[in-house]
Amino acid sequence: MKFYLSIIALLLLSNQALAIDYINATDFPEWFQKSLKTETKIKKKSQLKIDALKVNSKVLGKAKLAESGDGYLYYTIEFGSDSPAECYVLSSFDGRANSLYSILDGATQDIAEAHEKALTGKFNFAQNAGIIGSIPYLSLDLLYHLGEGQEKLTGLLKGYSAQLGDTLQVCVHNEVGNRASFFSIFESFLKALNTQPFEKPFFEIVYQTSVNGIPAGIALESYKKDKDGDVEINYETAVLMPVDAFSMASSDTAAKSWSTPEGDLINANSYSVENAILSFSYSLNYENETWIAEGESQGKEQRFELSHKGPLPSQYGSYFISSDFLKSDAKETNLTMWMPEIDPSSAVTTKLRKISNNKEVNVEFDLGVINMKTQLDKHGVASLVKMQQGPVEIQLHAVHQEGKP
Amino acid sequence: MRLVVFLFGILHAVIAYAEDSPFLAEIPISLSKQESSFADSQTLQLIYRSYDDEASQSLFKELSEGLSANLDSVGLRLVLEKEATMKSQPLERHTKSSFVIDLEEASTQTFLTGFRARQKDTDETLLDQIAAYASSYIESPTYIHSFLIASKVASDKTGDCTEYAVLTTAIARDLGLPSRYLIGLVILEEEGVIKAFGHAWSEVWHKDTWNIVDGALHELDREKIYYLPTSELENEGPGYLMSVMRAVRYFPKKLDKVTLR
Repeated sequence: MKFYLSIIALLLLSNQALAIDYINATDFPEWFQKSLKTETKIKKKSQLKIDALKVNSKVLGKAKLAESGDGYLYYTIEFGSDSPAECYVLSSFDGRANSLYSILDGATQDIAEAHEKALTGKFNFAQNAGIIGSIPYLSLDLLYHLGEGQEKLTGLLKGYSAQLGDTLQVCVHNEVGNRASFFSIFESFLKALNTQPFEKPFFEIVYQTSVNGIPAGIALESYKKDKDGDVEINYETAVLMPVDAFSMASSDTAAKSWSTPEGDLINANSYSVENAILSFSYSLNYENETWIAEGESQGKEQRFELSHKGPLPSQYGSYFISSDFLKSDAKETNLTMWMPEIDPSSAVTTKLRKISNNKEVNVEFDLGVINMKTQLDKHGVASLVKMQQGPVEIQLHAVHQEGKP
Repeated sequence: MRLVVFLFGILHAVIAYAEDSPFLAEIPISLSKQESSFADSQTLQLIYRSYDDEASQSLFKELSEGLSANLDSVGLRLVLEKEATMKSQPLERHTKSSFVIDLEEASTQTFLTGFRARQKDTDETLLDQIAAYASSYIESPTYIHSFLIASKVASDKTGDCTEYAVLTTAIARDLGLPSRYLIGLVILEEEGVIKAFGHAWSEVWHKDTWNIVDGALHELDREKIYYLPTSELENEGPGYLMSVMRAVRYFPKKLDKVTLR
């Protein structure tokens, strides 16, 4: 399995073949098709130095700090194409998906203004999600039209985003061609910035998320121990979901929780940003032998006392429960957790069932109306998660794993 | 497994139709020889092909109480009449404010006050007034949002059918009319082409019967629409997403042998 995962990672690293193109290039004029295939051999490198982030590395192309302000650095990178790549380092952002879409959306307006033409059309052209090394990224290309009739202009705005610690890196490129060359520029920029001394987790896993075959997003978990042995757990997801030919729903979620070494939840925080607006934000704490969930949903403040009494397993603890279940003779077991994305007001019980005679999946997670099938290893770690809910099929494939729970 | 749970918000896109063509909401459909036009037809027959047998069985139990349904080895056979509704009686919860239909919130109250002011100046029937007001209230129709609650829709004035339906449900309850939030499919004729989509709307108890109130499709000719209600949003509390997920699970792989009578 590990070899197979490495192959996937290599594919994602070495080419863009897995990206989904929504628009058939053969429907476009010859010049567009020809431009789309254009690539540039990038020969030059330049020094990228950012003292605040302790970055001092070579990057592909000629990088120049064009602008900086509160919470952002803005670079242009010339690499021999007609237009430079533009890269942002953001210390204040909404998330991989929301910030990428916001920047692309804003950039199409800026391009229209620069050409003194109206933005007359904007379409989802292509998207992808994958990893560079162990760093998950999202990509999105938007096709745009400016003006009408004989004066109409068509362009392609390509974008990538990836997070490193507390900064988000977003690169955009306004040119029909140089798709692979621009990816190389982004990859180089990201690797140059990945020199910060991040604390290494003892276990991390990254998934590529697909929805009906569309590589729509990424999901990751990481686990670190403090000096007392308590475990800090971080989950993050980023999804760009095309909802029609023109629009993209963007969603970023993040959760941070603490667990005892034995796997009991100490406290938890979770939030979600949808289409650049905070969708929900909750914290869970244990006070006077009662679990209290506080926060807001869709701008409305909420406070709930959970009816569940006593310890709750953390995500870290859920690995122990899954692992013990796999080792046991039991055919099914229950897992009760607080999952504010489903219901912030109560703990939700999931039934785990073993699946026999199936090479692809070995455990089913049943939440009543929702059913997921997974391939778990002996530590309870999923390499594959599949969920078919009516016409929607969600799959998570592990594309990077380091350590174990 | 929580990582998957984080992604459930995506699924709202299955229930999204509002006079445009969203990706996930369109349901494949195959027609038998068409014997009459939508407008002339009285009923619509079809075979509802679910993704799994369990969903077929559960859906059959729900639908057989109100609709003409038959489950056999071929599949779930349904006969729909125009304006088909679920038949159960109104319950107390259909009259109350809830987490999703949050009548007491300031933005919802402002929205409802707007309806009351408009109500005085029109000759439309009450149910048409409800649909028309919700239809005109949404200034930025879009599929990008996940399921928004009434106060959020009232303040942001944006959304698709799921948002129009929280508005119509809220107005009816504010007027003292029991109302419920329905999720299902619409099968409709547009410029001679028959299509099916995931959809949401309200059913309002008025004059001793349930009536469909659909803000999202208010501008369309109702003679050219068949509604297939598959699930009510029974959980209107903070865990409403479980009800949405249940509805999505019932959505079909295909509507087969669709025949107009």
